[in-house]
Amino acid sequence: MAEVRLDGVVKRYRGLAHDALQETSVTFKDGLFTCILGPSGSGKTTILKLLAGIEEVTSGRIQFDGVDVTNVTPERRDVAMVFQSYALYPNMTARDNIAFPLQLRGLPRAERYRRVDDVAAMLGIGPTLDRQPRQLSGGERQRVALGRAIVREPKVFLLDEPISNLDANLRMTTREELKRIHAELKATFIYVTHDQDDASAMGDEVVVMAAGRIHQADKPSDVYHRPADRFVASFLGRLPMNFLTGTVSDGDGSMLLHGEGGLAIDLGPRANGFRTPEGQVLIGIRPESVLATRAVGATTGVVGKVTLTEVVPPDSYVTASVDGWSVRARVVEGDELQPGDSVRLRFSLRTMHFFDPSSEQRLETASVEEPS
Amino acid sequence: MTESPMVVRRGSWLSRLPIRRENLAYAGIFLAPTFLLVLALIIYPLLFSVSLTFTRASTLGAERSWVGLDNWARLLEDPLFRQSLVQTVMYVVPACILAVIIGLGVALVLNQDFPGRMLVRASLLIPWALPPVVVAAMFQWFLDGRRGLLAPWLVQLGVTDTPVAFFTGVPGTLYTLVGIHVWKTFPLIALIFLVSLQYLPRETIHAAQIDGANGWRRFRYVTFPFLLPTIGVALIIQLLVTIQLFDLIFALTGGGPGAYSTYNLYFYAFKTSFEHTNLSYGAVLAYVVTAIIVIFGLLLTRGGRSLRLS
Repeated sequence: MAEVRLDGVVKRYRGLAHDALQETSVTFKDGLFTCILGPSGSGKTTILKLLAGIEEVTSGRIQFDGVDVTNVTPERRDVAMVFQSYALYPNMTARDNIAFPLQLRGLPRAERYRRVDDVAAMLGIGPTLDRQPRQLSGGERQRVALGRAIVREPKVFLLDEPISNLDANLRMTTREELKRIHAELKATFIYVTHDQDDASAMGDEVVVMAAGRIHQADKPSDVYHRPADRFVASFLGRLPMNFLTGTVSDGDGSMLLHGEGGLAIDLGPRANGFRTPEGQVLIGIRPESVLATRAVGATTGVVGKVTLTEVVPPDSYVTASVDGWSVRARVVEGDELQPGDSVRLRFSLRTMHFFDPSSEQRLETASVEEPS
Repeated sequence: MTESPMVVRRGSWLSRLPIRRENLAYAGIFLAPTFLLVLALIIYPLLFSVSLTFTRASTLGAERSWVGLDNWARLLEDPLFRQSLVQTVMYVVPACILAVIIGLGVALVLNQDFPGRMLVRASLLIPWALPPVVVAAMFQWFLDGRRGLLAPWLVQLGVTDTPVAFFTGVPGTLYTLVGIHVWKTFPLIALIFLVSLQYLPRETIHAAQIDGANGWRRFRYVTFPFLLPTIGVALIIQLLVTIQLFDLIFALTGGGPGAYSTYNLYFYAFKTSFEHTNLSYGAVLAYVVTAIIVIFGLLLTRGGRSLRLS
């Protein structure tokens, strides 16, 4: 229904040293569910506010379907927004909250309430319509806020962490529901969240942000498997990524990784089409792609000592010290390890990420990336 | 909870106090000074003033005689009481309406973001903080027919042909006092609204804006309903303050001009007690004012309860 474009948009707040949003150009594709993912203070909510029009851009343009709306007031932009706090009207019943946008558009009462009933049925909040917001549970409030957005049939939906205040189970079912609603309405959804599970569960596209800057805009699996820079690599994933600086070189039939403090890791035979990165590189390795086995009985892999164990169902992880480098690794099923145990760690070249040590940008090694 | 050995729960009201029995003596000792003060400064004067209303007493002499309900009966036949009562209403109604409208307007403006907001907010309280006598002197000069500032201005601007007599008209003078009183009291009302507005989340206003509501409709459908309980509270506070309007009348008109044209009940009670030295009837009038204040004060506490947010 609408393609949303930011064109060189900058947002600066009075009295703040850093731009809330550095010069940003990004397109939210028509009819797609795009998640803006980032830690707090990354500027993701700022983008929503700029799109809604409740904040003005410092410079740059905003376009809906090629039409410049930069100076259009919020009441004329035809976007709907769901706030993290839900922002329901405290003095109105749930029904009147949902009907309010229609009331403002001059729809007769009967028509308003008919459409409210349709939306309420879709969201399963029919029985709560006569209550006031303070008499509703968090989940019900969230649905009323969602209903208030849906009832307008807007071109663009802006959602600001609408489910972050719900409990884990409700969050999961609401994700499915949002996905279903999106499929039904086929509108452009822009969804702000700090939760990567939201992004991977619902997003057609993910925009990863930090410190007022977009780091990567890609499919959810791509931001995980092909992170554009060190920030994206470390922000995505259940456990923090392992990093080390070193060089990669062709050894005797296999690839060798040399790190600081005499660290040397055999990475196995060179993969097809792998281009060896030049000089010192920053190497990122996800804990889930390092395998730890009990040293006794294993013949391959680097030897290390377990310092910490943790369980992230369904897997167990250990943190091991290898020549002074602390690395987190997934424990091979069946092995039970204790701090102090000796382990062997196996690394694989195909799941390693290489970054330029100064710019921290991804270095393409053209290795065939496959989901691990 | 089972019966605690330390807290005695049965027996006389004294033993039901949440005090250990062996500490009762201490409680008595510690409470005694306060109790004596309350007795001397509140309870005794209260009882004395009640007894006054059933006697004939004056500030001059010590002799008092029992007259039963005569003083109360006099209320019914006293034309000046009726006039003061009517004039009290003439003060209260416009003062409440004006102060709430102006206070609300000012609060809405001061709730916006603009440079120098803090300074304007702080200076808002100046009229409220000024001593009443200063306010009276200031306006006496400002509004004086010949030497004042405003009357000649109005003539020069062509609003009026001759200087307006702010302190000689009947009932005009009363409304002059209402105006000054509102000027002095609206800051408090504005402050009450401003505090209340802080509890209306900005996001709710933004939501209404995104839903398509322009400025007026955001006020009409979101802000105004939200402020309704506060408006009730502000009205009653302003009513209580206005019923007790005394200093401006005392300093500016002394109850005149003409036949008591700026009297209110409070001022009448003062005049009766201390200038006509009829303490008994003065006390009766004071009790009428007290009754009105108590009734609306109770309304205020109920309104305050509904003000609490979810």
